[in-house]
Amino acid sequence: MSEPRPFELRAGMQLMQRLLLCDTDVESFRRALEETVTQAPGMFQGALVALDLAPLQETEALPDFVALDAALREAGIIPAGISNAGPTQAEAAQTAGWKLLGGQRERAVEEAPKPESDRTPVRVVSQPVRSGQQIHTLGDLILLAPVSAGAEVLAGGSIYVHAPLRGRALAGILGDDTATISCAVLHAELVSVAGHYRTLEEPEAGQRGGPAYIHLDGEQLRIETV
Amino acid sequence: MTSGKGGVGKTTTSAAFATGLALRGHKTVVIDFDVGLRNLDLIMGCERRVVYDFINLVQGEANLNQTLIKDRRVEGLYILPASQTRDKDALTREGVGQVIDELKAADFEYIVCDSPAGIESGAQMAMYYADEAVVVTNPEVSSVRDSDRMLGIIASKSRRAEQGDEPVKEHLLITRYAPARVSDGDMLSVDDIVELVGIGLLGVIPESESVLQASNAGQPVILDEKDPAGQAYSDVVARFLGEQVPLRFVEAVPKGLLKRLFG
Ligand SMILES: Nc1ncnc2c1ncn2[C@@H]1O[C@H](COP(=O)(O)OP(=O)(O)OP(=O)(O)O)[C@@H](O)[C@H]1O
Ligand SMILES: [Mg+2]
Repeated sequence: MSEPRPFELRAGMQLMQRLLLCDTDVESFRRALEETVTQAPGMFQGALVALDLAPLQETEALPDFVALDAALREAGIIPAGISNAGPTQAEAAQTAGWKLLGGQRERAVEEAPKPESDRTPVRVVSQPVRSGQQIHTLGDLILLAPVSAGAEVLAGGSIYVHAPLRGRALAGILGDDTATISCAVLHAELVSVAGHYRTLEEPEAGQRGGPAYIHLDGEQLRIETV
Repeated sequence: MTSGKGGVGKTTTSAAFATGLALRGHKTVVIDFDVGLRNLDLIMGCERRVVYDFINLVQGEANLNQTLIKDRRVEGLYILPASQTRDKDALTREGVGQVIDELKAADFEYIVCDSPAGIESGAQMAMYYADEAVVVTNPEVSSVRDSDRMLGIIASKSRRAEQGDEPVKEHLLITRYAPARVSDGDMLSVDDIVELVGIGLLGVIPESESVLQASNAGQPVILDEKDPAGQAYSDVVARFLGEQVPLRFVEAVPKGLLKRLFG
């Protein structure tokens, strides 16, 4: 293939794919997207995708965010938001309804805190999450009933289970390494924060059966009993 | 009557439960949703009386009167047999809905649906119109896991869930319980299962040899008043109808006592 591809695809953490946007031409974007999706349809149907603007860093080129959003959705992809945008890009993206996922450059330190409505809403689930079911959300996830063995809960933010956690819990799936998992009773099959996961096959003394708090300490996933 | 996992006692339970409701004066019909396998009519002892079946009824090839089999032992008890020969895709949601409406119009107080195993279309068809679900579970991990899955499907794919109505009322029924094997650590205890599944316990049916004898004889085990499983099913029906009945047959008989009785 002679023509340079308008984007590169990189595997992201867990369920999230990252599209590195290398060119602002929406038409070639659309064509290349179609091609990629045809090659691996299973990988993209309903996939969450973050649009990473890092390759446009030099030029601060301004793509048509409305058209990009439409192109992704047409291809069956759910645009989760953008990352590594410059200030003008971030503003344009937000106007077009995109979420900012982090890594934005040159955000003034003394900038006023984001208004409440900008925060990804917390999802609260009061029904048990049964075996075979999956619950996911981009923000924080609060669970008021047990997560069964064979069930999976995923959040862009933190996960709070005010009941026994017997299935899999993955926090910070968009890469937020400050995300945490808390649960009333730890019997999880697997826990993960920002892609650092741990299976809990063998009962480890003091780590199972009680309230627990799970967080990342550098590269190390720590399970603290409460 | 549903479970996910096969062979846990759904059909045994459906037969006993429907018979128990009718014995207490409630007009009841029990429907075999296990198209292709036809088990319920054997356990109910009416396999030689089947002329038309559930699929004939759903497809309008026979009417309700021609299809329903009236039980000869218990007043107010009817059986709607499955087809042994037809393809299970012959059951459609609309067709099943029409039959259920017809049964309601014919003054049936309880419609007991005996679900096939699995979590696919057959099992989903059996639970779709349910107001209440009895999840039949054996005291083993795989059965508990499948029951949990089935509960998730009921909570999301039943008609009540789809229409945003009051959710299907869920009951846990533990069958083939062997207290001695629980004490030995071979099986999950009642408490373990209740904690894992997290729904109300309707009853515990002990493992009993007379269940097999009863089904070979075409007699729902609830009619055997001397058998522990039969008695436990009577308790289950009473609890379902709102009575307070303590659990029986959940403690291992102390070895000393067995010796004194049989030693
Ligand atoms: N309490 C019990 N004690 C001993 N045996 C039992 C008991 N309950 C059921 N069984 C036996 O277990 C077997 C399966 O029972 P049954 O046919 O009722 O299960 P099922 O869940 O309907 O199976 P399927 O999934 O194939 O429809 C039968 O041989 C039956 O006799
Ligand atoms: Mg059966």
